[in-house]
Amino acid sequence: MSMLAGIVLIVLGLLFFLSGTVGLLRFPDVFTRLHALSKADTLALGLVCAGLALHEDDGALQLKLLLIWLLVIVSGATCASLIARAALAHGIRPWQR
Amino acid sequence: MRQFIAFEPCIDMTRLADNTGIRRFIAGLPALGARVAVLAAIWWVLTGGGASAWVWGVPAVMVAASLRPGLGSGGVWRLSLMGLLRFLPVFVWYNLRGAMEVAVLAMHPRRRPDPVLIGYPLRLPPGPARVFMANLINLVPGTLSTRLTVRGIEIHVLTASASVTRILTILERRVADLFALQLAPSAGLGSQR
Amino acid sequence: MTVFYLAGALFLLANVVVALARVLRGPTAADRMLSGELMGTTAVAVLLLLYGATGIEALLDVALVFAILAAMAVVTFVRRTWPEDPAADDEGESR
Repeated sequence: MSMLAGIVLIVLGLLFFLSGTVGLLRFPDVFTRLHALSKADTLALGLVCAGLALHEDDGALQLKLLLIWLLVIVSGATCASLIARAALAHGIRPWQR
Repeated sequence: MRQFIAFEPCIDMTRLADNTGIRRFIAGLPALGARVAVLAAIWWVLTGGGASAWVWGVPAVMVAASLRPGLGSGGVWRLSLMGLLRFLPVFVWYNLRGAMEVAVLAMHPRRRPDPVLIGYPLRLPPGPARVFMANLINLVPGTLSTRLTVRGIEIHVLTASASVTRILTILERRVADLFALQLAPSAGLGSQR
Repeated sequence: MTVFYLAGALFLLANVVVALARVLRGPTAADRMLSGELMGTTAVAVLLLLYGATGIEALLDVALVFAILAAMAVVTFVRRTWPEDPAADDEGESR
């Protein structure tokens, strides 16, 4: 049961990775691409971590997977703002329809 | 001997000499204990619970805990457990929704983003809670924080819609819960708690 | 199960190869850095899946180090390669 749930979570995670890449390629400017990366990719990695944790029965390893995810969340969120602010400071104006 | 002083930022002998220094050191003990507990937990996870790893773990935790917390971000993180319990479900739901919205927008053959820059006046007091909120904004539906200003925060919105300010208001209240803070009253909304 | 994990890892590698197009197209240095960030996150996921396939626990530690290094790369990029000081703007790499 947890085997199947883990597989589903990992496959969902892979799909979010794909959507992040598609967003990176299709979105019109650096700000919109940042949206795609900071949201889709962090969740994608979270789903992969959760799926692997379900396939795991060692508590310490499950916590390590959680730690990896937390690290990527924190760095992803912080780096997104860093790049956005730097881009504005360089005079890159957000794309508008 | 001189070069070793730099490695002891927390137990500074010159500060211990006078009375206020001692008092400040004692006042900092609970925070130091909390740091040691968190770092020891992280070490335990990193080493997979192995007992022999504590030979390195105890010194590593002690050195890390004696360094200044927050790496210069300013202010102490004082979190409330109840606030965390109220914050987490909201965060997980918004993160899920945000990722799904951006995934649909990326995959959809015709829909395009319709971005706009807005200013959002923050009601959180300045300090770590504001920085936390600014980073959090990057993970919830359709928003990306670009700049913290004196009065608030400048946000890049992926698809202009009215729901953005509603989400931010809810999120800000949860962050205030998490940090056990009161929000400043704002025009029209009144006190939320 | 091993086949599933390895297929997932291959899928992610293909994903990164496609994302390389953003490095080529740019147009700004920040866009290229974004692909770098994507690769960092994907590398972590690939390592996790390889751990699932092989059961080598050291791969989790490698994933942890990759996660930290990806963050460092972005901070270094913003602070050093692409500083906000406009005077440093004409060093060739910025646009």
